[in-house]
Amino acid sequence: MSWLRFSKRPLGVQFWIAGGIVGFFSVASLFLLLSQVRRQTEASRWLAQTHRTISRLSTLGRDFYQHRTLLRGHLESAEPRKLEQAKDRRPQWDRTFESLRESVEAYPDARPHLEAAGRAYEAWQRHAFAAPGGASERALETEARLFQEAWASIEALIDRFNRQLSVRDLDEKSAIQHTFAAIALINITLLLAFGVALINLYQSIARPIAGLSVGIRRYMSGDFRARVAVGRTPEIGYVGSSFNELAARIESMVSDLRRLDEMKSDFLSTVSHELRTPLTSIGGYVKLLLSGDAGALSSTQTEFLNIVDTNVGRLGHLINDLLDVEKIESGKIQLIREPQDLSEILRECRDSMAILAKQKGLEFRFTVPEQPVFAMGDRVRLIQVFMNLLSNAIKYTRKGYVELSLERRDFAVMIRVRDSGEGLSPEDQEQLFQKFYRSRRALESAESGTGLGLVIVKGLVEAHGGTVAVESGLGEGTVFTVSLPLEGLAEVIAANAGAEGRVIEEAGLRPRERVVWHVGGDAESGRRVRALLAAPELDEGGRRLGAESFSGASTLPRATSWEESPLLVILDGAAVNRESVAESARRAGAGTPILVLGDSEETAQVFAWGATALLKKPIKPARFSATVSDLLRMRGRRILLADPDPDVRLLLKRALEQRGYVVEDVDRGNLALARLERERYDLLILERELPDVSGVEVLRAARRLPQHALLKVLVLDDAGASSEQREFEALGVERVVATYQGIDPVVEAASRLLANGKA
Amino acid sequence: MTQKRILLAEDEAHIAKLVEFKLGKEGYAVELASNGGVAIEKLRTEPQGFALLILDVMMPVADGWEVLRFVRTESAVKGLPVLMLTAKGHQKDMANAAELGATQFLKKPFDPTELARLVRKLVGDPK
Repeated sequence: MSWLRFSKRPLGVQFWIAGGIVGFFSVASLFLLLSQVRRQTEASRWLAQTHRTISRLSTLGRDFYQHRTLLRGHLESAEPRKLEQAKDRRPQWDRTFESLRESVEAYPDARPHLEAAGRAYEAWQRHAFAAPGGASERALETEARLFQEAWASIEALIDRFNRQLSVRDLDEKSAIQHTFAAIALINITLLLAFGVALINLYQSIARPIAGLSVGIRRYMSGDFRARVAVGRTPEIGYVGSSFNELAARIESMVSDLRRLDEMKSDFLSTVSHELRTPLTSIGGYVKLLLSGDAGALSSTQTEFLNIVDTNVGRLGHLINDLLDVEKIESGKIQLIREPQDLSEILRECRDSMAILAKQKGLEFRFTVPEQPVFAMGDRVRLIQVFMNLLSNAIKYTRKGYVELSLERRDFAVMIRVRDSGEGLSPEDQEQLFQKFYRSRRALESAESGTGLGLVIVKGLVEAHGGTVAVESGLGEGTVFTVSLPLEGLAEVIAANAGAEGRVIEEAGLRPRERVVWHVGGDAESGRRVRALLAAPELDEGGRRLGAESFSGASTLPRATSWEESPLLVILDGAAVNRESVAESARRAGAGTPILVLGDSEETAQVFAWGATALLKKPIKPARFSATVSDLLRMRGRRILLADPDPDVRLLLKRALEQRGYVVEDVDRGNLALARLERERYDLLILERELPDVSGVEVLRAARRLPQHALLKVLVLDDAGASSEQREFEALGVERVVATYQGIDPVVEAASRLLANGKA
Repeated sequence: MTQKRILLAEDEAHIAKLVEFKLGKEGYAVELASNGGVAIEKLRTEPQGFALLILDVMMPVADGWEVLRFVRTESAVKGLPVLMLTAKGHQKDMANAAELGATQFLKKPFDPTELARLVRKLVGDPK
């Protein structure tokens, strides 16, 4: 199609062609309009003149008629007065006739007729004036004939002009119609042209650009295979194909880089495996020999084997350090971020490092506050950081002290490791955090080192969003300052506030409000429900139940955490239907009981919809209080079960669910922690040994969550008695249950705990 | 009562010998499979013959994960406890292993005394 060829031309050309067509039609329609206006002006001038002429002719006719009446009177009855009057009229006729002559100038073909009329008049007048008063019958007849002739010629003139007038009128009307038809045609053509141009514009510009932007967005979000459809017009098509080409180039670069990166990671993990395998062998055999399993050893043999063992350990550390550096540099380091008590972590570091300091005759100063200081971080990695700094300080200090201190600021915690060693030169300080760099003091000392420790420290601290700084001078000792951010994390604030003996409210966290959602009732029923909820039996430690009213389930807020979900949802009036029950359950969060206040028609079907309880109207206050307090107690029945054994999970879950509890189960410690952080549970059943994070760790982290500070906990232990018993007691575990007796004791203990708080 | 038998799947002869020696010293009978394929064969022929399976992760023919998957899907040996010998840097795999149902982990390089302690905990006394 020729149209398609047009749309394949360059955009500039398309615009010129379209502009030319539009311009031509616009000028044409303007020209038509102007010529029509001119014609109209001309026509109206002609019309005015013609009307004037006709009116003059009428005047002439009227004068003529009066004139004749006077003369006729004289002729019939010889009244000299009338003759005089008739004579007086003559100049008026002449004036009218003269002006008519002027008018008729414009109509050359009408002139002879006017002159003829003039002549007929002259003939009539000559005859009439010449005849004596009281003239003969004959003379009167002649007069009448002459008058008729003149009269007829004047009438003929009037007719003539009237005819011309109507002909011209029709002409003008049809001219106007033609002009407007032409203009309308042009406009319709233009409109069509515009439509076609718009479609073309959309197809050749808007659509490809929209496609392009979608492609670019996909590309930017990481889909490097994203390509776009190439547009038809050369310019847009060029942009599209350029994008595709660029995308292809970047894709191949990215995939090259990824391949290289994978190769590097593979290489490192292979090398570390290849190094570790012989190391495992060497270390294992050395340890075997040292344990005396292979026979008694002399003291020298033991000493030498210990040297081998130490060096195997060093090699192992070096491999681990190399892997850590690789992870830090490739940004692949993964932190398990949880609220961590830094003062506890630092105490742990002190406990392992103080012995080394003592062995070297150094004083170990520890100025860390007793009470917990929380920050978000990865416990293992944070310990690695401080141990590294402390071991450096101890290694390179000959006499004096090593100090570990913590200072809490508003938005950060500063942990300092200070030593009274020789200090570092400015050059050393500059290069300290470079890979494999070892300072002069490190090289001069007999201590071994890889030159990777500080690189790892820096990488790990930065991964935590913190910074490491060093201050030193030769002979002045060295201070490493690690500052970790105390971001406005609710957990951290709450944890710190709780740690300092303040209540959660003061730290800005909303306390657990005792809120009930009342859905679907009118103002009157809202008042009634509020009054029912205010019953003293429903008070809990002086805190009353408050109701928030909503017109329907679709206007309910969406509870995204345990803090936002209500204690109970009451469905009333218009909201008593299947959809509202389902929607309320969704919005209020899992485990929120739903009470339906129904009329007599609703019966068992509300339970099929998912309601927890039904009260029929009229509602008795005592019944209401009893039901609501039952339902509130039911809310306290969410159990989180963390156990790696799928069979145990299945059995326990089924048994507990049969007793009416809501049970969620996970197989790993980290999953348990994630759930505990997000949700609120009433009981945690925890297997002591989880594959990733131990039960003690899970519990320790859970206790730091404000909603789980008082969580009831049962620990499962296959052995029945655990070495961690004391630790569990310290963490408030109600009971450790042995699992070798089967699941019944567990279910019993859980039921008793949830019923009366005692296991 | 006879000695408890432990199946060890390990391709490194030196490490295999180390484990064999230490556990032998403890009183267990150790049966060696030099790769994952051999281990699966032995488990097929003697599904009830072993009290514990010690699995290395990196092995030829079938690696530790494959053997583990076999153990957890083959009903005859489903309940067999599995101790996995892993290397640092395999944390991601360890999460997998927990899902697959490994009973216990020991990181390489390991102390033979620690290994013996774990084995005793998992299967009890040798006789």
